Amino acid sequence: MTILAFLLILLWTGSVSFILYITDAHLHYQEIYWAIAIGFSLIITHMVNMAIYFKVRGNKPYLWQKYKRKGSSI
Amino acid sequence: MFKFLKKKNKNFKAIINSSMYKIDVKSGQNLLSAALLQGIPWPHKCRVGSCGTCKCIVLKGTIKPEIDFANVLNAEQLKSGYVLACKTALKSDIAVIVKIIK
Amino acid sequence: MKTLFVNIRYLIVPIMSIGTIYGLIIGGLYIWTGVFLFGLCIILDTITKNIHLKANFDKNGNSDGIKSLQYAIMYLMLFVFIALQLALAWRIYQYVNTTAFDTSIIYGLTIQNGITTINLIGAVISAGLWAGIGIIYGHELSHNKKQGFLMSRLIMSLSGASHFTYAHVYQHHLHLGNEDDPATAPRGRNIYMHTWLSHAGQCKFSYDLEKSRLEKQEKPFLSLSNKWILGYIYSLPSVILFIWAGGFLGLAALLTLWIIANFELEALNFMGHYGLIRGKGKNVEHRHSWDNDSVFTDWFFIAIGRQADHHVRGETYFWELDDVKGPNYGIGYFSLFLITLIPPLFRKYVKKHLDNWDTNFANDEEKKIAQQF
Repeated sequence: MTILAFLLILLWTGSVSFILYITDAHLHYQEIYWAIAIGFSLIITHMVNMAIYFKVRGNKPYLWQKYKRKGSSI
Repeated sequence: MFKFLKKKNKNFKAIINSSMYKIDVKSGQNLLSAALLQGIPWPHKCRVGSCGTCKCIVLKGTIKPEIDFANVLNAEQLKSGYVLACKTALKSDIAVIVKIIK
Repeated sequence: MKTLFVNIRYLIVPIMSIGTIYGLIIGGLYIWTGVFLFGLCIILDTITKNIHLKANFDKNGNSDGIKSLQYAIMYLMLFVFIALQLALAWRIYQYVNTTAFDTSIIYGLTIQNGITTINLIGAVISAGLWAGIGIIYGHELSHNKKQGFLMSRLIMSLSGASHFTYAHVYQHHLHLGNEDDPATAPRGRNIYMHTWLSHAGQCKFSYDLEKSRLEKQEKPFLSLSNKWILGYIYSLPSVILFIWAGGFLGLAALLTLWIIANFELEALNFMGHYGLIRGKGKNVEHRHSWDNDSVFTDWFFIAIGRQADHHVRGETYFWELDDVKGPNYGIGYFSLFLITLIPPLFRKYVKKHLDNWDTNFANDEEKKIAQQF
């Protein structure tokens, strides 16, 4: 499920990056309005990425069971 | 050298559970700390304003909240005058009610 | 004299942060000042590891720490860390625009314009190392006044970790020592995995907290009332600055800075509670945190090492925190940090301390849980 989460993150980030690329954002970043727009898109991308991770992985990554010896319980 | 920056201590009084206890609370000290230091078995757990165990109702007087109580107390509790004692400093003498289990 | 000493000894970070900014501005090899100072701290921390001083109180039990002065310094540090990012962004701008290598004299300072690739790397590392130290002020201010809480959020937002302020107070202090606290590293986890899991876990807490709060208030999740979203909005100026300064390269530099800063933040969580256990819902006691009161660690980290006293008396100002004979690694944070970078070495080092904790500090319930690892 971790792989799925990171695949979805990669997909979303890739899509946003592609849109930025085809709009020539990499050529205009030194114009302030472009910088602001790129900044907003990237922060939103990051927030969506975190939300994807939370939705896909839930609370599982933080549980301690995987560090315990086999057969033990909380 | 910096002594002039130190605020002069001003003590206030807190009456707890209709004169069951009377304590002094120094200016800048929070209500819970003052109570515990003076031997009162005030219920508490986290002491940082995150668990709500130390909540009490302020009947009289003015307090200064040191954090936003709405993160722990609900609207009804806030309306009833509940505060978190661990994050409450006094601005005047006060009277409070708290559930103390001896 | 005593008052002066008690209040200025916590100025190590402000002085060294300003030194780092100075190095970034002067340029040339001075760009590496931040890295040099961090290395110096490692040496100082190691050689003073056996000096432990207790908190200072007068005969009336009053501390010599001056609240207004210490708070003024903490509030000012927001602007110091902003200046740090501005200085780095300026160097990135110079690199991307291939500014010619020459010198300028501005307000008496001889500044070397232009920057090589290797020095740019040095600039990013220098800035990242000291941006991460901002956590000590973000942490202290999260425990205090409403304005202090906002300042904490703003300081942490410079490292993309504005969620820390909520998660630290409302999750870590409540749940430390068990799996409901992502900032507590269980036995067997390494610092690298912990950095991601603790960051994500605390971020998730803030996300869930806001989702629940806004649902109760019948407000939409996607709004500026959402403090999780607001935390990222606070980071926006940094993002815009670095994009404008250097485009993709600027973004890469900012991400590197954020990774270094968050690594340092989570390293402190890692070192502060690694392997310690507390039954769910039980009272927090001194034994539930690793205490670290070696003198350089104490002065540099504004007593953040005094975790044992801090978690029991969370309302206490840092200059009043004391040695409470809690479990102790025996070395300062800088020295310990180096050990944590090599996980097998850290596990070997910490084993005897954990065994000691299991034998001499843990209660029966905690011993039972510890045996499962």
